[in-house]
Amino acid sequence: MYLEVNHAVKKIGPDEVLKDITFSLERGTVCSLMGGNGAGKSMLMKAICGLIFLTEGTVSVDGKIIGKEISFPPDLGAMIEHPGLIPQDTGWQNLRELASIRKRIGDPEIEEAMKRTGIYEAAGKRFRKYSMGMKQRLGIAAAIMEKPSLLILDEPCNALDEEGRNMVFQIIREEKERGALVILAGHEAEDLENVSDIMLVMKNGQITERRDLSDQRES
Amino acid sequence: MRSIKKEELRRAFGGMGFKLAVLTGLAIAISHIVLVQVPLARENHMAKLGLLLYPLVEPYYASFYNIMMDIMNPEGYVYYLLLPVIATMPFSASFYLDRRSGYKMQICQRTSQSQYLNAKYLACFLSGGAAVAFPLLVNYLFALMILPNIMPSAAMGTNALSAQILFSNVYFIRPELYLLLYLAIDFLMGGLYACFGLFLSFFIRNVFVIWSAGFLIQLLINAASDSSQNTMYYSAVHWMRPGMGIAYPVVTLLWIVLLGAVPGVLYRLCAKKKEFL
Repeated sequence: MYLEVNHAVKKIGPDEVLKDITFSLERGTVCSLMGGNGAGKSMLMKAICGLIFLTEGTVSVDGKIIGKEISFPPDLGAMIEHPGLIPQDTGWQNLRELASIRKRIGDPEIEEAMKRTGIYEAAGKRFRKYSMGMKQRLGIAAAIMEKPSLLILDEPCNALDEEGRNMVFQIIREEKERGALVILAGHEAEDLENVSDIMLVMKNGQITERRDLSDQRES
Repeated sequence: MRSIKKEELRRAFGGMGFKLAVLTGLAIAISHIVLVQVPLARENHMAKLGLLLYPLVEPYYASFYNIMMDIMNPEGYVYYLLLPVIATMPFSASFYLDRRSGYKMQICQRTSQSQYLNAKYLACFLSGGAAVAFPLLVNYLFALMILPNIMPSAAMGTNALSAQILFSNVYFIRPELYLLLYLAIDFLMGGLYACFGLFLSFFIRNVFVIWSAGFLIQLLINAASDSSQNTMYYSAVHWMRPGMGIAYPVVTLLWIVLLGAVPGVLYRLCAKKKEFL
């Protein structure tokens, strides 16, 4: 897995929401995007997922340009903005339905993902009856269940308690160990620094700073 | 691609919208059974027993006294007037709802947007068509159960089918085939109304407007064309009903092109090129 963002520009009407963003990442890395509201983190994640078209520049995965050679990264798990699932279906049904699209995994993997995120006990409950924290956990389970090589989590600690946050960081470490490229977004530097190898600080659609945290930790 | 189609079909036919649409259609179809077919069956029975003051010239029969053919009672008119709403209820608003909930994002990381939208178009067409056709079929089958299935007579004048009407010759030889042909046309129109609603959901963010847009267009054309005997056949409310029939096939073709082909082509273009933020 090799991700390359090359001079990415996104304009929406007169606004330039992504401004000439360039970086590249390899498998087994945790990269965090840090910035305030409107910094462009979610938009950049959507561009990587192939959910929006760039005005200029490219995003490529393993040398294949998204939007030209491929529609979206072929081995992707993502949760952007909020965990969007079908309200009237149970947590279990939601994950099964999503898993049935690619048909890569079966019930044991779904069960494992739900157990890892601590939501297995509520598997039979309808999604609309979940609390915010439970929805967040299920969204993370949906993103990790297919063991993707590119995992994108937008503010994964939203609505989670201390135990939930620790669970998220544990999952991120495990996914990194497995060899996945993990991209996170958040507001709080301290949380992100603990799990990230690279931190990209964003402001007004630009990357203003790049911190190599693994080097810092080693030194 | 097959699995996303299967998933969208499951959602379309298993969802609350489909149940609601079928129940709405069945409510009208059953009201026709209760208010028209059952009293006529009783009258047939009384005539057989010689209890009627005046004898019947011919018994009330199934191929005319069903909701599709019966133009003397209001249930059929109401059904065909509401047909676009019944068609759009199952799945036309699903894309808007998927977008709003974020479910579209979950799908589009597992399959491409165009595959997802093509699967949705198919599911929307089939569920819209089925929701429209099923209550009509139930009504006709019920008519066959309680009314005699005799050949309609062109001389009797209980039906208004003239030679100008498309397939009218079939009606007097094989009435069930005529009804099935129009049922297929109604299925097609139901599917096209449903897909028209789905196309609108790219731009409209309101379930009520998505459900009612096709109905309002049909209502306006119906109101404008209802003023004379010649122009009334321009209205889909009239020509979709086998009791009235298609007098001008070109008009039907024009409806299909404007309601189905044009939005269909634009839909496919949007599915490939449009960005849904």
